[in-house]
Amino acid sequence: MSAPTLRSLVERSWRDNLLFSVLVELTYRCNLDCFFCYNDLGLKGQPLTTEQYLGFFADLRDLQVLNLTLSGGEPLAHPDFFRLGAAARELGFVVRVKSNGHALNGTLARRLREEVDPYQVEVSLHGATAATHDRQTRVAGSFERLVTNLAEMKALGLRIKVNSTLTAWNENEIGEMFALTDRLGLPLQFDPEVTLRDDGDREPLSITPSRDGVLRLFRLEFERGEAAAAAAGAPVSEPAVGLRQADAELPPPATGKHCGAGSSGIAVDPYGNVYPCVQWRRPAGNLHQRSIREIWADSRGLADVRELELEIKHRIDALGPEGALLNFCPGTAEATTGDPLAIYSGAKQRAELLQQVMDERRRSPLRVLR
Amino acid sequence: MIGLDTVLRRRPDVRYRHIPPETVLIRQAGPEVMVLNGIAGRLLDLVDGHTSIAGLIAALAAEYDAPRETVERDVLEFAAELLAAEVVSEAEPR
Repeated sequence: MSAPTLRSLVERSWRDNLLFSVLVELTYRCNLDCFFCYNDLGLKGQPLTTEQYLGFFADLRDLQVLNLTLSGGEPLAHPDFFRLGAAARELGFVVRVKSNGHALNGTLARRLREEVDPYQVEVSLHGATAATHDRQTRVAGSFERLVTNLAEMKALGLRIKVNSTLTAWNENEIGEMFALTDRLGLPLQFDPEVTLRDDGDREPLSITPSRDGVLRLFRLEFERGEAAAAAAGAPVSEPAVGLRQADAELPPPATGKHCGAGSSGIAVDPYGNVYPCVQWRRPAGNLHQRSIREIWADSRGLADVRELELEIKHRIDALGPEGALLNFCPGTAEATTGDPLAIYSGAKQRAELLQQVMDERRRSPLRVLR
Repeated sequence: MIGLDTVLRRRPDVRYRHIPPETVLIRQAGPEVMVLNGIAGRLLDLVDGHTSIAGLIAALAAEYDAPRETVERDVLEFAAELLAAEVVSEAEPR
């Protein structure tokens, strides 16, 4: 029964362009005002109606899409969030909800559990203290409220993952943030890279973490990974380096394309614009004009991205072991340099620091003793 | 013990999609990801909380134009595996 593997299936989805994961930004409305929010709040267009979303979801079901992520903005700020979430559940998707958690108190969290039953709720944490977290969200009291809500959500049985972007503001609180989420019994994943806004605004880069901050994160992630592996009797693995991809949890295929952007995954903004990935905002079509079936089959933009993915894979592989440490994102490359093939400075730094930490760990006598 | 009269239903936390010739399945409560072959995936479609194992065998034998004995052996084996993996459960007798 289980001869085929998930890995082979993901490989096939990338190779044969089988749409598997979709991220939908339901609205750019939000009850927080995060300094580094990447959404293009000036984007104009006709929002998709609830009926259009329901038709779109049905098309995705027919295309055998498994993963559906409801994002924003704050997705719960969409007036029909629960209707759409319940429809997604009814249509059999593995539903993820990316929320800031600010509104998910006991009542709404219970509704989410009962009506949507998401596979996972991803919530953002910006610091280990109110001063740091609230500085980022620009809403006083948001930290205390989030910590309370996380405990309630956990108690209700929601499966939660905490995400954090490493910044100059929270890089001295990494250990405390892990301690906080450990106390809450929740996993925490950092993204070590602040990105531009989707309109090209570079303001968020002003809180890019320092080299020392990234190094501190990688060291701590290695230590925690080794400790967890030792406790489980498992082999030591590389630390998780944050991704914003819809199918980030799937195992990377060994051959073919660099990632699944535009080949097994897409992102859709509130105005129906379709992109290869939430990080690769190259227009591929609009749902007001064409169905997702037509866009997926005929989009020139997606065809170009699929070709580029082959070329990127070829180039990254040619770099040898260093290439694997880049965690290269063609969307970030295109946004920051204009060229999806360019190895941008953030990727270079990440590879260099990961290599440094890996070398340190290899030399560590403590590691040998474990 | 699964028999021809057993009625199965999919557990509510099970999500799956057909990506021919395979079916990918996730148990949200696990969470575990499984990949099933085509006939096991089709069996999952037919499990509806009402149809007995005998009914599933008849439907699959007709659909695949296969000997009933072969289908019966495969279905009983798949059903036992799906039950053990907590993908399906036995439905309450009506």
